[in-house]
Amino acid sequence: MTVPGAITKAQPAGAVAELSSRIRRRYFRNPLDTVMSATCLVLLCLAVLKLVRWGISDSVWDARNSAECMQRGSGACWAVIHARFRVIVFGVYPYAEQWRPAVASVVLIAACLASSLPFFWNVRRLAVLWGLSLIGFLTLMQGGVLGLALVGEQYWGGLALTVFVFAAMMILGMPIAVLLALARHYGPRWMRLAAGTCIDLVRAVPLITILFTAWLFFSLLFPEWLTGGKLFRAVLGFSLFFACYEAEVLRGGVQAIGRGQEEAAAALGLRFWQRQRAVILPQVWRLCLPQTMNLVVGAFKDTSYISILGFFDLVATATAAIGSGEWAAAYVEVYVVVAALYFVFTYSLSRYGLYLERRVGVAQR
Amino acid sequence: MRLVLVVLAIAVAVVVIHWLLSGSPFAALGFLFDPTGWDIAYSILSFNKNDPYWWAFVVGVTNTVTAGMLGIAGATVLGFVTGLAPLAGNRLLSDLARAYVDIVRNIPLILQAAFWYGIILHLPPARSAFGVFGIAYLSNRGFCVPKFADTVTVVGAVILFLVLYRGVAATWRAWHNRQETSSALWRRGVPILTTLFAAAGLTLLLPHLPAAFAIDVPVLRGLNFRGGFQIPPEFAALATAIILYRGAYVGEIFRGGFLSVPRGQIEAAISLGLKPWMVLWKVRLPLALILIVPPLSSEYMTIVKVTSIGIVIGFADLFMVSSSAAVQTGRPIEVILVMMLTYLLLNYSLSGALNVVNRRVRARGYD
Repeated sequence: MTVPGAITKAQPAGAVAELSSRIRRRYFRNPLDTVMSATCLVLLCLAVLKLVRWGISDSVWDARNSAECMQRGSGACWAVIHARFRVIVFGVYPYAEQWRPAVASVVLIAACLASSLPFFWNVRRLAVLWGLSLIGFLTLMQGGVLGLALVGEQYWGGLALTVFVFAAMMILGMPIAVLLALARHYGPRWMRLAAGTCIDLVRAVPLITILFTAWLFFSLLFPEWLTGGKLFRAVLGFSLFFACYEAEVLRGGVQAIGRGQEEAAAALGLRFWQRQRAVILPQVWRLCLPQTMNLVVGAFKDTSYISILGFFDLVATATAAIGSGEWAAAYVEVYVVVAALYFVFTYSLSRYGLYLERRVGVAQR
Repeated sequence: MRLVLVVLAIAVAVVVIHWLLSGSPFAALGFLFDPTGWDIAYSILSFNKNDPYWWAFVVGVTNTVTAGMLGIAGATVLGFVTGLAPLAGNRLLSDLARAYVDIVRNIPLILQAAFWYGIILHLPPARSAFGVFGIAYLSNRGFCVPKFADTVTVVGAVILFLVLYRGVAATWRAWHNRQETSSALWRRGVPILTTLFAAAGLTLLLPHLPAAFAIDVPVLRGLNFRGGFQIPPEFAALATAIILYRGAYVGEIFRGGFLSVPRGQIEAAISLGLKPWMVLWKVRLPLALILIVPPLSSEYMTIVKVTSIGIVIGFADLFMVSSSAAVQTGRPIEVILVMMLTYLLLNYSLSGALNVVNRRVRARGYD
């Protein structure tokens, strides 16, 4: 039986009381819980305290080298970021021209952001968007036209290179992945076997061996004008690697769709590519979204492998920034900043993936 | 089947490429027997510059496998604990585990390896090394941990003991289970022979065992450590980075597996009066393993593959040895062939072993 007065009485007095009861329910339900929470809390407080001391209160923001930093304070030497910022973000790109990679990275990041808008979710719009932004990026970085000085790819570096490798890997890798998956699922026997062998082979060896092989083989097998620069070959290797993993994900999706869809579309008189484009692939895409986003996040981190081939991506520029003796002791600060940069990209990618999953609604099917 | 195809495809491709390039279809793999002339900074097996190339590859594989096994073991333990955290029912604890996973998973492994390498190189020198209970030391020379006086003998003895144990059990079963269809000779002979061989081996090893099992604890002598197992900075940094990074992924696998066990099973176990650790160990873990083992297998293969980033900090794994060999011999195609085949072999043998584990786990029924 409900008495109107009783309901209002039973309600907690205010926000504070409600909060305290919620905290009690969450963290201090029983003695064991209380002990665990208390231990965690103490450890957490100690860690946060130490971090704040190191990173803020004892840190040095103004010094000429790491030795001077150590004299001035026991905490982080953020002066290194101020001093080596250009090296970290732009690598060895000529100093006077560094506005170009800055604008170029903004162009690519803007294109990435734009393609996450539903407006661009069709092949033609994406093609136009990425065609234009890649032309813009390459023109800005390479130069040699419009009065821009020519800058070879060996001087490209930092954020611009990392984002470029990532974007190129996606643009080249996704179509290859679709083709590989379709070949392995629908192709005649020899095609299934070839695609399967290629996928299994690439997936069985480390990424760096693929890059290394692409780097060596392409230059041995094909004439110079066909293979392009070293960077292009590396990007090809990256794309192939990504495509083989993505192809397996997509193939799983194609198998999960089932024959019914395929047959219904065929009965409507649609040809193979029409069926794929209008019926199968959209469903596959929706089904495979979670795993695809995992691969995409992984791909962003994998761009760091290009530093092994001697390119100045963010990891290599971080090492270069502390490589000069004067800042050698401030390595933690530089790595923390670069890690934070990566984190911003990968974390927002994975959050975006979660949003997409909700939006295109795997559950709604 | 597919492995054979892959190997054949590579071999054919290499022969054709070589034929196109040099006119002679059969690549000279003779370089494998030439002395290398260069040194490998750190290796589990000994190596010097007069050793041939094939030995350099063996040394590289051993390093890769050692780092991979260490990474697998460490990441599994760390992942198990991380995956367990949400089960404790404490919000703060599971939030901490979540934070660890989210931070570590979003930073490239190469950066983490470089970071830990920097940390280890900036540790105090051996004279003022951090001691861990007086038996292990952390210094800028890497980690120094206790080891068995004769590790090879210890490993051999342990394997022989396991074989003996299984052999006795199999013999016992062969004698008491009369429903089997295969011939008595085969059914009883194999276990008996295995048991006898293992027993003989163990008897032979017995006099050496006390000396072999003696623990060799590192001690500081002058400027460096004597005794114990020395893990150089490169190896230590690589292992730390891989364990922390892949441990987060393993943690997610365990978490998903643990949470997927139906509540009813757990409640039934509790109402039977099982202690909490028994609920975990006897009910939750075995049921979760059915779901955990397949993704964990591919995770383990990933761990073995990512040891190849060792080149960033100068750990001489299979890839680093191969890239040096490719440059030094001027025979990149052959070197790549050897490297790829070795990685394939590693990968497929690991996946074969893990498939056996998977079958065993699933054989418990329930699905």
